Amino acid sequence: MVKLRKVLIFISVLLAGLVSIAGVYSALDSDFLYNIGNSIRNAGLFSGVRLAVLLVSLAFLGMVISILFTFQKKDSTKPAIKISNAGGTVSISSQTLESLAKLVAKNADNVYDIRTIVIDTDSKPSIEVRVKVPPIVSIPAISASLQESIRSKIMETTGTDIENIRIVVDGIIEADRKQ
Amino acid sequence: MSGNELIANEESYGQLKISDDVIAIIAGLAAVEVNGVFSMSGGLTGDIAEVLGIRNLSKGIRVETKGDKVYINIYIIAEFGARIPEVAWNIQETVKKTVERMTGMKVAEANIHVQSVNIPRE
Repeated sequence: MVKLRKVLIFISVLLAGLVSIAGVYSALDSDFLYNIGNSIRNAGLFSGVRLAVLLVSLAFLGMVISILFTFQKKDSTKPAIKISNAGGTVSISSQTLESLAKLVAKNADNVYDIRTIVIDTDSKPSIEVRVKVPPIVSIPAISASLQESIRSKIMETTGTDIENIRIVVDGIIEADRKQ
Repeated sequence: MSGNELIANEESYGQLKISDDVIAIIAGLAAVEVNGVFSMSGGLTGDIAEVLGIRNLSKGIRVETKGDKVYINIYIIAEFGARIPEVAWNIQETVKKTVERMTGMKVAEANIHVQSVNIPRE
């Protein structure tokens, strides 16, 4: 995901440069954009010009997606825990807690399609873990075990006790999807 | 490029100016060596620079100087399994010692921001 994001950012930077150059060039040559329009109109369905326009459009789409990823990342790096010590402060982001909770849940038995989100970051952080479970399992037992494991791992890693870990079972996974 | 000026001593022939960028590089090199730090977190501009192959030694470091005091914000990605309060304390100590030793300036605060944790691949 990080690599994909970096590729999208790279494409965006490249495109921004190309669009800027085209903008400057069209300001200097008034027929520039008109000639491009004519070339597209006269070109065949599978011609190079149309393919280039298609590629540029796709790249623009990539730029929009990368901007969305950026906003998502900014929000997830919001501090969830703040600790003060003699040297300054230590802030731990929501993303850190979400990653830890997700990894613990991934290693648990009978838990699939895991999504984690930190909520209520202004006061005490709490974590919501949405999972799917296979049929014929004790959901309260799985939930209790998961809460204990996540709480313990976060305590061990951050030194902070997360009091509220909400497990949401939002589906039953089909037998053939089990690993 | 912002900077900070201080007079080394009365017998010196002038002033010594150390830019914030230099302090950031010193802090970055010190922080990344601490056990439990997977990498520095540089945000969007850092990612772009990395994609373009530009090595940014001050990635994930923001420095502010007020008088002869330095305030450093350090953005990191922690290693999975590391105890974050311990890692943070070690970074603060290491960065403070290194910056103070190399620049002679006083580090008032070294604030650690753990942006994410590196999840090992299976």
